[in-house]
Amino acid sequence: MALHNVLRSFSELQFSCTYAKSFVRRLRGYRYQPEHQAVPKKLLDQFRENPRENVASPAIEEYNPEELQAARRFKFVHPEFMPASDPEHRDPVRELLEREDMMKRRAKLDIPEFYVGSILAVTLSDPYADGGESKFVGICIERSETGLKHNFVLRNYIDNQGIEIMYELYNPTIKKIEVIKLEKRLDEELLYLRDAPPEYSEVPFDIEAIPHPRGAPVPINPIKVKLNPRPWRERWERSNLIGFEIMENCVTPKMWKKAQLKENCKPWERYDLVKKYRESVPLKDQDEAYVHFTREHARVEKEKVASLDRQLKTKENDSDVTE
Amino acid sequence: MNRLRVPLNRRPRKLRGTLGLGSGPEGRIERIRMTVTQLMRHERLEGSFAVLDESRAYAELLIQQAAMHGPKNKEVVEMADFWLLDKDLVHKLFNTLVPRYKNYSTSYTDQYQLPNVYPENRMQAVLELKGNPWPPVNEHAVDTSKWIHNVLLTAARKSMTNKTTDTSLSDIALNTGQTHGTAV
Repeated sequence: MALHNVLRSFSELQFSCTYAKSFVRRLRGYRYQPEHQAVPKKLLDQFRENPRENVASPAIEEYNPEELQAARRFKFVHPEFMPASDPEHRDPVRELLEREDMMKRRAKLDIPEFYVGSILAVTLSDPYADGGESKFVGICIERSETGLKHNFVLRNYIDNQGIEIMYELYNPTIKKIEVIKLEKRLDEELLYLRDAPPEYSEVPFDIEAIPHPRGAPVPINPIKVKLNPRPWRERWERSNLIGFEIMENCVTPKMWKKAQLKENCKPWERYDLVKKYRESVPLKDQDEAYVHFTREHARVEKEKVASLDRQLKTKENDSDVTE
Repeated sequence: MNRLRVPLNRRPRKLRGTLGLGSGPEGRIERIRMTVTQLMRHERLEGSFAVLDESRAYAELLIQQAAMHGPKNKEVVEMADFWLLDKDLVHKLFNTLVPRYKNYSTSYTDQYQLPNVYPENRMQAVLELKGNPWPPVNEHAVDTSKWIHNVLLTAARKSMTNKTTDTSLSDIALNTGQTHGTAV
């Protein structure tokens, strides 16, 4: 590493701390030590053959505000592109590569917009099933994980038995994902359907798809599920969810009292700024992910239209030849 | 929320019993509220390292959110109203601190670790808002600009700037005068 490189990068480099920080020094009056200031990894990377940090975003890019606004709309439509909130699970390179893989899959398969509460039909390639494929219809009760691992759970009630299947969205054996009814529910997850009567999760397999007009807002179904009497899988009376009703005399007064205890309500978490910060992804990283997605999405859609045009043209040519 | 400009522990400190035995997580928040209020009031605090380090992120985020959304945002005003126990500090936050840190590209606070004092050996620290009216904390800092290494370095920088006309290098030349401020 040449000296001029060092000087260019560390513009304020000074030798100032060559001695041990002993108590003798403190006695002489050097009582305060400033906080530890590490050398920024970005600067170190300039001298590495294989840079490790910030590979996904080598240059700080100023996004076009219109593009940014369009990208931010996709946060709730395609939640799988949101990076993980835990910094220990973050890796900008892996996230970039995963996003590229996801877009490659999206070029082959039409992955529609859907939410928890929507009714979906998924066709899976299955060598052991009749016709080589199996189809399952159900209500989406949960979406979890980020990136390539993103998955969703479909629930149905068949032959007096509740059935749930977890599909990974980018599973290559998925042949078709069809949205039969596009709607949202009052809650982000509907796991309480497991403790509800079957009619709330029963979906017939031969149901016809209800078309959703393009660009129209997604309707919210305000239905309140009436839970079965206890025992339940969870203490639903303690949850913050609003999409269910509890029958009278199902929960004892003592249980209601316990549910309203401070330990269970945790009212101090409402204003906990740092907790919210830890649970969220920094805005810049979100923007980076979703701007990348919007650009790739536009390119993939264009290619799809172009390939359709090509197919139509070849068909016309073939028909001309036969005539 | 934007990325914090100060290091943050992955998990929060529990600050057990900080307001008496069994004060719990509620007591932790209450203690941090008091600390953040005092920090905004006096702009420099001395005390337990754990409490100050924990409060630092809250103060940083509060200023960041106030600067991002402004006083017309309902949520931010509610947040400031909760975290600042004295309500005149809400005005100070929006009218004094936010304009002060408008052009900052670094953190809004500084933290210094104090030496342990025998026999308690508790970690003590100083937390301060940047740009405060108090004299600097490390006033005993040594002037290292005349050290032989630094004299050589500044000379090397000067010779470099004479050779090239790169703008980034000329910036470095300007910075050489300020190097004294960063001494340990």
